[in-house]
Amino acid sequence: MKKLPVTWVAWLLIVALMATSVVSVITGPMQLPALASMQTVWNALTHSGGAVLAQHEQTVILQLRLPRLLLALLVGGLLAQCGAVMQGLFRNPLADPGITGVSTGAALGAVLCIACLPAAVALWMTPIAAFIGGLAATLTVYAFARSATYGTSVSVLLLAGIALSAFGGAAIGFLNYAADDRVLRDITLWQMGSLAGANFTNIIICATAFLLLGLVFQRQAQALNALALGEAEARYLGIAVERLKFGLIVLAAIGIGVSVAAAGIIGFVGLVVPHAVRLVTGPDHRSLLPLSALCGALLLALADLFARTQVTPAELPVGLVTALLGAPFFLSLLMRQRQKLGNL
Amino acid sequence: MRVTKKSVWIISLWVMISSSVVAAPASEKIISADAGVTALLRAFGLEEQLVGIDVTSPQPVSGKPIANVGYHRQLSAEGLLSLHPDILIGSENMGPPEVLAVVAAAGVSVVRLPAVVDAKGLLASVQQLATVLGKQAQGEMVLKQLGEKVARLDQQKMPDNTKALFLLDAGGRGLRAAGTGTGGDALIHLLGAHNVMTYASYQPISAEAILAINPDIILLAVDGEQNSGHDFLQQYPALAAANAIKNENLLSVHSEALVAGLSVLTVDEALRLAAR
Repeated sequence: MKKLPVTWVAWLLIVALMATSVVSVITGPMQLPALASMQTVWNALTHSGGAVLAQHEQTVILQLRLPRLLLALLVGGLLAQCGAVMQGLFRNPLADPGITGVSTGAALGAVLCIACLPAAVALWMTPIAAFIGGLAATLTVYAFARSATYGTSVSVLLLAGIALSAFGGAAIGFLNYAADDRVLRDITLWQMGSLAGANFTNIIICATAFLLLGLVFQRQAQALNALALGEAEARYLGIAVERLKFGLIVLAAIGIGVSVAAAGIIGFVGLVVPHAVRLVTGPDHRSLLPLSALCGALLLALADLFARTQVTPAELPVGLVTALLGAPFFLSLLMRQRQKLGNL
Repeated sequence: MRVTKKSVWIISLWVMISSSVVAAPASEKIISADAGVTALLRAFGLEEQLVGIDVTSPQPVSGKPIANVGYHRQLSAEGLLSLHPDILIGSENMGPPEVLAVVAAAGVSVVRLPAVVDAKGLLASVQQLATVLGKQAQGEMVLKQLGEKVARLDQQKMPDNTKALFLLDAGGRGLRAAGTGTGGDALIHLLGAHNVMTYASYQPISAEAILAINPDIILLAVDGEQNSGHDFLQQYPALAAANAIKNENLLSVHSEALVAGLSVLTVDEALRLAAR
């Protein structure tokens, strides 16, 4: 299968990202002049005066559009990168960031919080509960899969993840059943994901997670490549497979936990973006990880642009839009590659 | 010019109306994020000034549709601001808080009315709305009308010991009954009956449990105009044995009247039911 050159694709994605970012800043339900909008961002960045927009219009650009764009880029990048790592680690193309139970754990934490705590407390506790739930689920699954004599079994990890997800799903179902209308609606909306809660705090947290995890994952890219040959082979190549597995599972869970806490459940990005990148530029993790991050950021920024502008003055949950936009694109990519492959 | 009693009356009415116009310019643009508030604003005669309504508020019967700002707990700040409102009015459940803060910072006055659970609370919220909007005259008028309606309801009250059950039908996949704190519960109390369900909010209930309770009247929420009493019995044939059905006390309630809890729409619906 012919692959496209990595640098070429990287530049293409970077240009697309920048274009999407500019369009995101200048587009929204409020009609604001494009140049003045960009000028406002520039002035804010350089701390220079000379307001070109009214105060409340600057608020729209600097407190609504810009934070949302940044959060979309970071969460998209985090999810796609964690997805790529999980798929590499499990050597399973169906592995998505939720496979170790982290998504369901996070959802259960958040739903418990929404359903059982008073609304005022639930508001700021929900992200924290989601993060803790996600991490706790992952560690539980890992504890099941770990054995002193045989190391960590990937298949037990997968199956325990599925069982825990089923359990969490049932628990959420029970809370849904018992909830009143308000809580039910809140739970449903939370599970559809939204970037509307973007603020300075969650952007800083996501940015830190994105940079740190990006660095660590990139350093382990060669090890993930070696793991693709099989665990025994990786071990013969001098890789501490157990440590690698534990470290990456926990880090990916943290990455997903952070993004779920900031934006709720956003499906599809973590599962499909790494596949799309692999189809286009090949399976080498050294290029797969950064390109997945770029591609995930691009997809989520585009999805949020769509979510913000299609049903104004209301907005769509972005978690619905990612799959709506991404799935047809992915299918077309799949069909094209399939024709090249013949009827494999 | 001969001054008649009638002309004095007309002049004083005119002064009253014009003074209220001075208090709040007629051009103020309003967003209503609550079906009950929207109904009240219509009763005030302010439909013209509505630039946005939430997803549960009914659209105007005729004329241009009003922009839909979505679900009142998940409002979009930029979406609201794009309508250039002067006032945003909703229930105390309106949110999220950060969005309201941004909207308020942009110079929009944000008004949150407390939840209404009984007729008294409804009258209080009319008063509050009139004060906020500076529309005392219209407020008085709505209060008077509402007071008359409530008094009429009082006259037509069902006997105290009437056992009533309010049901939502989940599309043939089971029933849910209205407990305390729901619009259904408020409607039952407006009718003077007694709600047999004592738990909070809407909870699932089986046909067998309904037969065991054997309520005197069953209120069934329906969408739109269709009379679904017949369909309902086809779905749940066992209920034909209940007293309420045998005595033809299965009443269809328009669900729009209850979507925002107790509102002027609920009072109208109660009057319609009481008249039967």
